Amino acid sequence: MNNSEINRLGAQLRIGLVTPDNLMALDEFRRSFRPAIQEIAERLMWLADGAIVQRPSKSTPSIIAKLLRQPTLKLTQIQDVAGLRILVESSFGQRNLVNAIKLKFPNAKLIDRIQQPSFGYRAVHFVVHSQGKPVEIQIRTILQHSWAHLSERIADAYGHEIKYGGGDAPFQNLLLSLSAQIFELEQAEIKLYADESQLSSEHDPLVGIEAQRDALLLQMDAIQPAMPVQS
Amino acid sequence: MIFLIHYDRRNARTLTFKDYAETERAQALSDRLDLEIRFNTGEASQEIILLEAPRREDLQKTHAKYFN
Repeated sequence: MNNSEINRLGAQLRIGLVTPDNLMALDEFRRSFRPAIQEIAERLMWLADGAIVQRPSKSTPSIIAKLLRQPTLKLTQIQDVAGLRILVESSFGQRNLVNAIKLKFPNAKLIDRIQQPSFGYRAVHFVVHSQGKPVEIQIRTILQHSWAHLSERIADAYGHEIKYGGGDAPFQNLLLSLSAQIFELEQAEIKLYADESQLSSEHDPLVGIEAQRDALLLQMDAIQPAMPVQS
Repeated sequence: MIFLIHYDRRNARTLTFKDYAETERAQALSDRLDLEIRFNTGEASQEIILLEAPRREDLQKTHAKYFN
């Protein structure tokens, strides 16, 4: 498929023409990302301590939702059709991995969602290109990931607009408040690592950070969105 | 390993969870397309996705919502 055909397909999906023929064409388009994601995953393997999970292609509802949210976006312009996700334990580990990826992929586009969160979502994303295809790399700490997981669960139950600034205000406030607490804790952790004198003191302040992290993880795990969206 | 997942967003339920060896990639792709054509024509709440991870446990960490 050439770019015009792919963008025509995107335009049809946007207006709801999710026909078997269009799904087959979308499948062909998504399969074309396989060599690129494989190459990037292999290059990352040497950097990442944690397992790298590949999502070779974005799901159809996610692609359509993105096309609907951004009416001028073309299918060929979506940069996260193929993606990789790496989880790291701490914000310090995240910063180290981000620095290593910058060196390994000097042309990568960095999207810093720690300093500039998207409706509370925090992580670091890179978009790298391989064989002419974009591949998104998501690097999340366990806390950021747990928050994203909670946000997904709420979105599935109450509607995905919660992820983009809409939806139920109490849930929005809850997510934003948790996101701010995570940011504060992770910034404190980075400062501690930067100041070695504190780490070598008799009372290891990281113990306190870890306790707060565990408490936040428990708090987020305990939130159960109960009511599914009614059609 | 390759994992094929069919997740019903509206009811927060995983309806299909199937794993494939690397050598079965073609089958995994074909099965995904079959599920897409069965369930995704006009139904935005049905998420049908392929994921790859060294082990199921790794996937459970990064994509926990599919393990209900």
